[in-house]
This record gives sequence, structure tokens and C-alpha cells, in this order.
Amino acid sequence: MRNAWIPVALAATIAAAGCAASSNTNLVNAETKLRVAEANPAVSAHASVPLHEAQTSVAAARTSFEKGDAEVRVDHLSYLASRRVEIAEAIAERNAAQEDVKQLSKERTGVVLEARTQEAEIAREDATIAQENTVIAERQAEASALSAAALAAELSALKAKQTERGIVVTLGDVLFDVDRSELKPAAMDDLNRLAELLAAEPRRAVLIEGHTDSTGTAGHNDELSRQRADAVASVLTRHGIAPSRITTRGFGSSSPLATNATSAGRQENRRVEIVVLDVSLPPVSERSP
Amino acid sequence: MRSAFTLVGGLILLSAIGTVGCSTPRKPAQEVEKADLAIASANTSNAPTDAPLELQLAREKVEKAKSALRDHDFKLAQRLAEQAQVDAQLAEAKAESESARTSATELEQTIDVLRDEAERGVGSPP
Repeated sequence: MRNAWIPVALAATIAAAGCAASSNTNLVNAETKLRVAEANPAVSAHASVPLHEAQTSVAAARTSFEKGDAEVRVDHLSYLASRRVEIAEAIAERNAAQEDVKQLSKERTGVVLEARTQEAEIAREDATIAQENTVIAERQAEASALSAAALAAELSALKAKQTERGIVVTLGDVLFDVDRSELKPAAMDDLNRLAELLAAEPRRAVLIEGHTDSTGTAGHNDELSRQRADAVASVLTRHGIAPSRITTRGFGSSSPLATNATSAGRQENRRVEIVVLDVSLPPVSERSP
Repeated sequence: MRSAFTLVGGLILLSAIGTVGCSTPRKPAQEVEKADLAIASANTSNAPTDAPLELQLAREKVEKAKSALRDHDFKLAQRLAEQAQVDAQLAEAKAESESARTSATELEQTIDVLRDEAERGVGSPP
């Protein structure tokens, strides 16, 4: 019976000699690598199955070491385990990147859609602006028409008449002394009003045309009619109306309104006509002197 | 005496079994085949360019495994073949990770360019 124990004891010693190493470097490295991978949330999120395989491998290597397997075997199993940890990490990176690709594809589609929407929006805005410009142009045309109407209303107070040439204000004979070209004070109210209106309508030009009756010489009448027109013009320029807007002419007796045979007719013929021109008409009289 | 002889004989028998282990010649050959397949698979990915070291290791080990088989060193052949497999698998996983990362980066750049163009488009006069 004593003999039976010797081979067993011998076997136990041999076995114990196999477990001589207190640790295996490759095993410890594999276990350390595993801990790092386990601590990485991306690995468990994106590669849980490969990670589990790595854990099983590491456990098998650890078991092999504890059992006292040969170092070659423990090293081999530790190598496999270590590589499997690395594989789990690489797969996690791949899967995470593929997730990113999915997200980014959606984002790219979104950006393209947004750009197209913006282009459509800009096109719509352009169309709206074009429309608004049309409306503005229409309103400006209306405003011109209105201001003409307002002007006309004011000028009706001046007893102005609308003709094809423009708006005609007639200053009568009573505003001048006989055979004189100085304006009497009575004319000033009307001329002030006219000057204000012309200041408010800077695009309008003015024709001032002096007329006489047939009494006296043509030369004298031409001169007098011209001087009277100039007198009216100088009142307007004193009120700040630019001289370039004003054209004066003396027609003498060449353009009567009424007959010169009667006193009333002659009085009517003695006048200064102030023509406030439409914007589009050229500031030159169409009638020849 | 007889019991001791039996025990020693038993021990010798056990150790003989232990040396051979569970492996038979068929298993190492299968492992080598699996290693070849793993390397072939890695070759279809970008592993040759993106994970050349791991792929090279796998190739070398497979060659050594085949030569171990010829030498009837079945344990060595088994070990080398198993290691070659994981080396090839790692090479492929690294290459795929690299490809996916590159795709993601390219997409990011495309989106930046598109965004720039969109902004410039808004700023330019109609």
C-alpha cells in the first residue's frame, strides 16, 4: 500500500512543477486589453457579440493557466484571446463609422433639399419683388396723375384752364398799369401761390407769354409784352424757381384772344399767359411769335 | 509489486494520451483550411493596403502550419493555423473599419462643400 502512494506523489510533484510560473505575461496582457475594451462604451454598444467571444477566449486562457497547462498552451490561448479583443474593437469602430455614414447620408440629403428649397424661395421672392415693383410703378403713375389733379385744383383757384399745352393761368390787364410792365401788388397773391405750386412740382417747366392789344406800334407792343413776361418771370425766380425752368416770350399783338374792335375785347387781349407744362412736354412754345 | 507496475503503466498510458491530447490529424488540416479561407476573405477587403502587417503574419503562420503538417507536428500545426485565422480576421476588421471611417469623412466634407455653396447662393444677387 505504501508503494502505491509514491507514483501518485511523483505525479503530483511533476504536475506541480508544471505550474511553476506564478503568472503568464501574455495572459496578463490579454486580460488588461480586455478590461480596456470592456471600459469602452462604444465596444459594448457596437460589438457586443465579438466582445463576448473575446471574454470567453480570455476566460479559457485563464482557466488553462490555473489548471497548470503547459506554457506553450497558455501563451497560445492568450494570443488568440488578445487578438479577439482587438477584433472586437475594430468591429466596434467599423460599425460606429457605418452608423455615422448613415446619419451623414441623411444630413447630405437634408442639405441638398434645403438648398433647393432656398433656391425656390429666392425665385419666389424675386417674383414677388418684380410684382411689387410693378405695383410701385403703377402707384407712382397714379400719384403723378393725382398731383396733376391736386395742382389743377389749386390752379382753379387761380382760374387756371387745362389746355392741350398744359395748365394756363392768365394774368389780366388790371395787374399792370397802363403801358407799364411793373406788376401791381394785387398780382402778388396769385404769383406767390403759383411759385409755391411750381416749387412743389420741380419737374414742370413754365412758359410766360406776354400779349398786348393792337393799340400802338408792333415794335412797342412786342417790347411791352416781353417786359411784362419778364416781370412775371422775375417774381417767380425771386421765389426760388430755377430760371432754367422758365421761358419768356413777348407775342405783342400777334395772338389776340378776342376782337380788338371793342374795348372789352382789347382788355381781354392785354394779358400775360403763364403755361405750366406737363412733365413730358418740351419747354418750348409751339406757337411761333 | 503488481499494483505499482499497474500504476506506473497506467501513468505512462495517461501521459501518452496526454501528449497526443484530443487532436487527430484531421483537425489540424481543417484548421489550416479555415486559415486559408480567412486569408482569402481578408484579401477581398482593403486589408492588403490598410492592415498589411496582420495579413502578412497570417500568411507566414499558414505557411509554417502547412510545413508543420508535413512534419507531422500536429499540435504546432493546429496552434499556427488557429493564430493565422485570428490574424486574418483582425486584418479584415481593421480594413473595414478604415473604409467606413474614410466614407464618413468624405461625406462630412461633401456636406461642408454643399453648405458653403448654399450660403454663397443666398448671398449672391438675384
